[in-house]
Amino acid sequence: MPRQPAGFESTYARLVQRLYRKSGAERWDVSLERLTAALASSVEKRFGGSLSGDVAQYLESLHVEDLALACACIDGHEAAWEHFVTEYRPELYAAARATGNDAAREIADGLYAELFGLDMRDGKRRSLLTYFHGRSKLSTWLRSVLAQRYVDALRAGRRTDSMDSTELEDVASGRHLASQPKETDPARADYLRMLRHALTHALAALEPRERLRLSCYYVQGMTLAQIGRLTGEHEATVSRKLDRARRTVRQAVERRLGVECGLNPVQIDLCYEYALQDWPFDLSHALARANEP
Amino acid sequence: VVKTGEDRSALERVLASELARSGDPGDSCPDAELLAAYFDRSLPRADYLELERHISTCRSCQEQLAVVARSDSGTPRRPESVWSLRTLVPLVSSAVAVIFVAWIAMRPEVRPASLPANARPAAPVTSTTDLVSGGGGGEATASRSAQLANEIASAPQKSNVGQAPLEEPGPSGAQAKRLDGSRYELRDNLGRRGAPNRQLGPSEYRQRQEANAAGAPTSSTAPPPPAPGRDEANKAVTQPLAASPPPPPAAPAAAAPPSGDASIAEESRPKTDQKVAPAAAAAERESLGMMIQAEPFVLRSPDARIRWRAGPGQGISVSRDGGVTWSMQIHTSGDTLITGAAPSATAAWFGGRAGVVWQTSDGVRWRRVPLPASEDVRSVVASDALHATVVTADNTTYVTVDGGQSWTGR
Repeated sequence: MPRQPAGFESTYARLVQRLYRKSGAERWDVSLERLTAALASSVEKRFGGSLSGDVAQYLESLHVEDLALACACIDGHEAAWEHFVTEYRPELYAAARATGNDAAREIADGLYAELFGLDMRDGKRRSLLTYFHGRSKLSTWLRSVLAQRYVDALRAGRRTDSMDSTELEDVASGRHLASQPKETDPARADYLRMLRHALTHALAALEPRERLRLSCYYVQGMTLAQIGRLTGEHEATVSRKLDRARRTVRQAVERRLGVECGLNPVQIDLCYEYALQDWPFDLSHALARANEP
Repeated sequence: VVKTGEDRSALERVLASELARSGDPGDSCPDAELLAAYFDRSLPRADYLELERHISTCRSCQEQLAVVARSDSGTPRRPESVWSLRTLVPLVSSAVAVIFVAWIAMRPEVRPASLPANARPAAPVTSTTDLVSGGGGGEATASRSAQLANEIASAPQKSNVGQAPLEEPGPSGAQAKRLDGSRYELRDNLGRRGAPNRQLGPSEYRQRQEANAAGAPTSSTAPPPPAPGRDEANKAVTQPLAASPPPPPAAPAAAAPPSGDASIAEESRPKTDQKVAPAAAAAERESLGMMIQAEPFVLRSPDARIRWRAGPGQGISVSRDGGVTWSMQIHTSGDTLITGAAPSATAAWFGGRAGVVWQTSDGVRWRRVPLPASEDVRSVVASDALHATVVTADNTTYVTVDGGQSWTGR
C-alpha cells in the first residue's frame, strides 16, 4: 500500500467519493479504498507529504477514469485487461509505427510486457502502470513512456555511433582545427562571436512558447500540425507566430550587431555569410581561433 | 516561414544550430507522465507554464514531445512549409473574392452617349417592377424604373439623331436577368464596356423556348428564330458606346428617377441602356417575354410599405407592410400580367398578355381597362392614376390621360 499524506482521507473524503463515482471504478471492481489509495499516491507524488497546496484542484484535474482502469490492470482484473488490450495496445503500436523506426516496435513490445508486470518483485507482479498517477490521459502517458524509451535508445545509439566515428578522434587529436577552412578575413572569428552572442541574447529574450515553437520547427523538424497539437494551437496560428518569432530574432540580432557591435549592413551580411560557411559552427572553436596569437 | 534571400536562409541555419546547441538542463527533466500531462494540457496553468519554460530550453524533452506529437495522428516525419497549400488556398480565394466584390461595387455607370438628354418627358414618371422568386423568397430589386421607361416612350423621337430606335429591355430585361441572370448580366456588362451585345444562339434560343413552354403551356406566341446577321447590326449600334468616354458623375444623377422614386431606385442591377437592332430585340423580347409569365413580380410604390404582386394565375395581391404579408385583391380571370407601374401608394397599373391592362386609382378596387391592342404589353409607364403610357410587343405606344378610358396610339 503506497504512502498517504496525513489526513488525506478525512480531509477529502467527499471529493474522493465523487471522483470514485465519476471514475466508473465499480466497472472494474475497484473499491473506494483502492482508488483512494491511488489518489493519495498521486497527491503524495505531486505535493509530497504535506497537503498545503491546492489539493482539491489537483484532484479535480486528474483523469480518474484512466486511473481506475490502471488500478484494475495492476490488480490483474481480467475485464480491465481485456479493455486495455482492446483500446490501448493498438494505440501503443500505432505510436511506435509513427516514429518510422523499427526499434520503436521493439520498444513497444518491451513496454507492453512491463505494463503487464512480468517483472516480479517480492513475489508480486510489478506493473509499469504503477507509475501512472492520472495526471494525463492513459493513452498519452503510454505514448510519452514510449517516446522516452525511444529517445533514450536513440541517444544511446548516437553515443555509440560517435564513439565509432573518427569525429571524436579528430577532436581529441586537434585535427578538426586543422581541417577548418583557412581564414582570409582576420575579423571572421569576431564576426562569428558577435553573431553568436547576438543570437543567444535574442533567443533568451523570447517567450518560452515562442522558443519552443522555433525549436520544434527548426530542430525537431515537426510539422505545423504537430506543433499545433503540442501547443494547442491551429497550425495557421503556429505558422503566423513562427514567422513573427523569426522576424523578432532577426531584428534583435541585427539591432545588436548594428547598434552595440557597431557593424554596418555589409559587415552584418558578412556575419551571416561566415556563419553559413562555417555552419554548424562552434563558438568554442571560434573563440579558440580568435585567441590564437 | 518566408525565405526571401540567402541571408535569411543563413539566419535560419544559424538559428537552428543555436537552438540545437543550447539547452540540455540535465537530470532535472520531468517524468513521462508530466510530459504527457503537458501534452494533454491537464496541468494547472502555473504548472503548465513552469514546465513549458523548461521544455523550451530542453532538447531532450522536446524530442520526447515530438515523438508524442507525431504519434498522436501517425503523421510521417516530414517538415512542412509554413506557406503550404492549406494556407495559400484560403488566402488566394479570399483575395479573389474581395477583388471581385470591389470590382462589382466600383463599376462605373455608363450611359450611352447617343442618348440625348432631352429624351425623357418632362413629367416625372414612376415605374418600377420588382421580381419575387417563386412566390415569396427573396425579392430582387427591379431595374430601370423611370429612366428606361422614359427612353422607351421617347424612342420614336430619337430617330432624328441618326440612331436606331431604342428597344427597351426595361422590366422585361430586368426579369430576364432574374431568370437567366448570368447571361443577361453578361450582356449588360459587355454593353457597358462597349462590346457587342451578347445574343442568344439558336440552340440557346430553343432551350429557352422549351423551358418557357414547360412553364407556360398556353403560350401561343412562338418567337421566330433569331435573325441572321443581327450580331453585325448590334455591333453597328454599339460601336459608339465603345468609343464614347465614361460619363461624368453627374450623368447618372441626371438620369435617375425623380425624387419620389428614390426609395425604389435599383440597387445592384446593371443600368446599361442598350440599343439593340430591331430584329434582334424582337427575338429577344419574344424569348424573354415567354419566360416572364413564369415569374410573379412585385410593384413597389413610392410608399415602401405598399406593394402589389401579380403572377400567372395568382391575381393581384397587395402588401401594406413592405411585403411581409399579402392579401388578395382581385382574381384577374386568367389574365397573365407581366409588367406594371405603381406611381403612388394608391395608383397602380398592370399590363399583360394580349393587351390586357388593369388599373386601380384608390389602391383597393381594380378594373380592367380596354386597350385597343391585342399585342402583349411590354412596358407600362405611369405618372398617376390617370396618365399612363403602354408599349406593346409591336412597338406601338399607347397613351392615356383619363385612367385608361381612352388611348391614343402612335
